[in-house]
Amino acid sequence: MPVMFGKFDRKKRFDTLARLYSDDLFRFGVWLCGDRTLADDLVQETFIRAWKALDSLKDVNAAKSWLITILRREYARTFERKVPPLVNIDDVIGLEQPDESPEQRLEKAHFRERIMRLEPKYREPLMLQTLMGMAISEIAESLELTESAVMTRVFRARAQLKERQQKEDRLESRATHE
Amino acid sequence: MNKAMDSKTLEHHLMTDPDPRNPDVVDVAKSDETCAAVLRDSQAFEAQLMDALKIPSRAGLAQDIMAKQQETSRRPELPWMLATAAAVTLTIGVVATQFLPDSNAHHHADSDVWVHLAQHWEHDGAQVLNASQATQSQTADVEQLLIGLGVEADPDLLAQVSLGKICPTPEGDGAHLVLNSDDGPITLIIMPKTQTLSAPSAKIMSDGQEAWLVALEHGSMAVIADPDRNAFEIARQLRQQVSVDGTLAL
Repeated sequence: MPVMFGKFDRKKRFDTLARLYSDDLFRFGVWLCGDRTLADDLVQETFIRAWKALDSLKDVNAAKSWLITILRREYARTFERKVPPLVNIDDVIGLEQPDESPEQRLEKAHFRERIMRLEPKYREPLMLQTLMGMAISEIAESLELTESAVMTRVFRARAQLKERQQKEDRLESRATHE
Repeated sequence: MNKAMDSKTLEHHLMTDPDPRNPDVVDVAKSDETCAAVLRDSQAFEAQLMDALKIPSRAGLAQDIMAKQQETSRRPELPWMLATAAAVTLTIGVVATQFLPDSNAHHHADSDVWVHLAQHWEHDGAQVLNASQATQSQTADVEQLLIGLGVEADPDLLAQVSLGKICPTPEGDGAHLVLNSDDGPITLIIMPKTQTLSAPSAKIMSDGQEAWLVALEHGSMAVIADPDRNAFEIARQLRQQVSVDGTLAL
């Protein structure tokens, strides 16, 4: 019986996508919803939907954006069903690097808190650019924004992170001197 | 542009696009110490940002996804496997080349469908097969035809359709498609509004072709092919590539 309709290739394509992008999508999902369990479910559901719609993915180079779009839609559906609780991102990060010093862990925890305090409209394009390695044009397409809007948002995201970092540093320095 | 403005512009640029490999960025950092410092600060910030963002993923996530996909693909097949023995028995029982309707009361609805399919096949089955050798339907036209019936087909399937047309079914219109494959044509009749029993059933048509009637989540379909083509396996694969919009089919 000959293999019909490229079924074998379809499975191979799917497995490649899962291997290449599941970890990054999971990280993106955690930053999107602040919940490891929900992020895990989101990524698995994303891939189930991706499998069903795999034939609509014509350009393999667009796979990452395509998967992100599916994940964001799935998250929107989840959000319609129940509002995820507000969480401290550091509570959901999970295992840390064992070779980090307590100071490094604390510094990283503070940085993560600052990221999580960003408004989602700033945090999301920053995640896509930094974590997912997407170009401004790709982010604009994924988020249905203009490129200049994306540039403004990633700029403001960084500006707010730096500003908060400087403010916390000043407070810490003042507390040390007192 | 003075030196202070240069470094400010660079700082602004790096907060939007922090790629340190950008040739313009490299050039300006080489030619100006203030700009070089701005670039170092940006790189340190980005490293800190990436370190914070790169949270550990869950071990085995990709493997779980692949396993879940296989499980999802297999799940609908279970009733098929359970039904195979009964269906094959049914096929073996039909030795006559003349189609005989099923007299089993439990399959009364299916036997009605079989009667219709047999008449349909006798009416234009062979004619449509012959026409498919000389005519090539456009994929877009076939897709439109199916959309009009509330049927969605995978692009791989659409690409194999050599001829598609509207046909009558026991309930409303359906699609009569001929698919090209390496081993010869296969006829697929999709009946969006005709619901059959969940177990597939098989018949030998009047000209010796083997036919399988299969329930979809909404509606049903029949696959008709030469007896040596393993029409059951073809139908099993096609079933995963066809879906009927239940709301449209009502």
